[in-house]
Amino acid sequence: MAENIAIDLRAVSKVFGSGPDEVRALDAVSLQIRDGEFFTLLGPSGCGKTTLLRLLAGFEQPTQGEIRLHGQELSGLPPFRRPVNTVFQSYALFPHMTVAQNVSFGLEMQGTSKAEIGRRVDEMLELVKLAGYGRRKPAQLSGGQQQRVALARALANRPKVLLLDEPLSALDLKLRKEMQIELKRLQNDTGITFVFVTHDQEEALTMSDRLVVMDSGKALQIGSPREIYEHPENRFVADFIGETNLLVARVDSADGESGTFRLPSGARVQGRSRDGLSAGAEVTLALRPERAELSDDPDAPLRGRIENVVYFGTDTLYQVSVNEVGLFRVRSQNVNGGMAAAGIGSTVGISFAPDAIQVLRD
Amino acid sequence: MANRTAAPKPVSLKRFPGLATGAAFFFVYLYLPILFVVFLSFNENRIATIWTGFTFDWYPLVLGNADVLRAAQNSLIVATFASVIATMAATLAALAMTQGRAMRRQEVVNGSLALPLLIPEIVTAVATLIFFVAIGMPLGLLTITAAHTVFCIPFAYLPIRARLEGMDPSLREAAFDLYANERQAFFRVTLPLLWPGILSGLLLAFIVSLDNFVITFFVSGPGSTTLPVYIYGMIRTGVTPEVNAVSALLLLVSLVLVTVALLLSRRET
Ligand SMILES: Nc1ncnc2c1ncn2[C@@H]1O[C@H](COP(=O)(O)OP(=O)(O)O)[C@@H](O)[C@H]1O
Ligand SMILES: [Mg+2]
Repeated sequence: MAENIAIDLRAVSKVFGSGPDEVRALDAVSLQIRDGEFFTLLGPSGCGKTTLLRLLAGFEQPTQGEIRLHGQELSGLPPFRRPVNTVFQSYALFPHMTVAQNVSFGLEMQGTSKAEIGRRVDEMLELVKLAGYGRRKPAQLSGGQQQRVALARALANRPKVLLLDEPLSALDLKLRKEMQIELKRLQNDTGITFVFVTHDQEEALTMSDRLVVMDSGKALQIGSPREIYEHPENRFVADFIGETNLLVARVDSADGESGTFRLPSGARVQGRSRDGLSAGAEVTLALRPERAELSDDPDAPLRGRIENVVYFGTDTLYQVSVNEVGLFRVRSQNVNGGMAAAGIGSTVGISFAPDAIQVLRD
Repeated sequence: MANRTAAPKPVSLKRFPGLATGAAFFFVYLYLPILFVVFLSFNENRIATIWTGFTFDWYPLVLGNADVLRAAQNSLIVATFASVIATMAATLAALAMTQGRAMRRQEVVNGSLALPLLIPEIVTAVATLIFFVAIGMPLGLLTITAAHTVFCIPFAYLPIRARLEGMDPSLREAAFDLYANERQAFFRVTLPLLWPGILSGLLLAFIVSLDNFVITFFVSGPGSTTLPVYIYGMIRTGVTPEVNAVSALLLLVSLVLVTVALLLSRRET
């Protein structure tokens, strides 16, 4: 399967500064990005996303570890020898050149023939829907248009990998949604591997084939949006992506597949387990609000008092105060005209299916 | 309710009593003597300070004076060489400072580049003279140019560095990313963007060299008189309308150059 891997990072660390000023921007990150996929680096500001991108582009060298691009070791290769192009966060369009000159820059540097350059520039401007804008200067374009020029400029070189550092963060919401769709289309049409950086979890979930969640320079979890959302492996991922309820529990019994856990209330619940759990160990369980439901069952594993009901249109959020657990959130779809199932102050049970329970690693 | 959200009014400087008068006085103080010189350069009377009528005659007279022309030529030669060499040195220094790895010593380098602006000029003049005498270099255009090059560097450096600092560092990286090597990135991206700063530095250095008197006076030799030194020589025999006319011309050239330099340094990228 090695030929399907576009980028292979092996225990890559990056340390800036030394002594007391030392910053470990990346800490033994290992991950593989498949050829032709839309891969996203997701994490809060300062977690090392830009640093990882800069290592791939060649603007920085790793302190430890190695990076391979289609099997070729990249270390020591300057940026201009890497078949990789970048869409910068600030776009970094050359202000003294026209749009066409910007787009042709990379081809010119590679010694592509004039005729081919002309053809490719037209093709690229067409692709990003900016045909006819070639003679303008970047300053004469709107933010969204500059963004498209930056894309065209990078894609014109037909890179093996396109790196995008928070390319949408400077756009307003409407334009942002448009560009999300646009980017997906471009990725589909060109088949180029996209490595996309964002700190917006919704953007990451909707756009990516796979993503990595990062925190403090570490790659915490890698997987498809569904895997990451449904089966977060640890507290940070569960918390960072979507809403989640965390429950402290003790392992009653467990095999590799499933287990029984005892909640502080004394109730026993079934859930998906993982390797290495022994009876009596304390674990944290994660439960998405939409996977829980209010119930009249007197044997429901959790009981509490409704503190707040918030109507969201498509669904309604109930905040239930549960003894020994705290505030527990339940979301239910408004399929029956959105009438609240229970009002503030009433006591309700909360139940959930066994596969809704996810055991976290820390 | 409306004033709760209104931004607090900025403190108006106009409210301080006497400020406008003070400022007006200051401007008069600063520019009146200069305006006076220009005014008197149109005086018909040979005695510069006694106004009898308006004339343009002094200007053709001055421009036909071989000594004035030679001095002006010397000034231009010195200013051209000194400002070009100083600007090249300043450009290299600024590039090294913002793109090299010498980031840590920034303050020291910036400080030592700006220090010559604060050293009393007479000290520099004496020191430079002693230096040339010590190494046995005959005083002339060469020594003037060498001395000018040195004090021109900080003037050329400031606008170039300001320009470089205002430049998005990812532009250079974008060039590398698009397969440009160091040389191509410099000539295709950095230099064109830096150009207004370089021109503005060049013009400033040119003016500073053109107008310099003290250092030039010390390190010039026979036959290498520059315009300011020549004016000084003229004035020793009395202030004549010719002196005023030459001064006015020098002022005009300087003003034009300063204006161009300012416009260049303000120009958007
Ligand atoms: N050139 C640098 N010198 C020193 N520290 C740096 C440098 N670049 C990044 N860092 C530090 O590395 C960490 C990760 O930064 P970055 O990769 O930019 O994060 P992100 O893009 O996820 O917001 C931050 O703590 C940042 O301050
Ligand atoms: Mg970043």
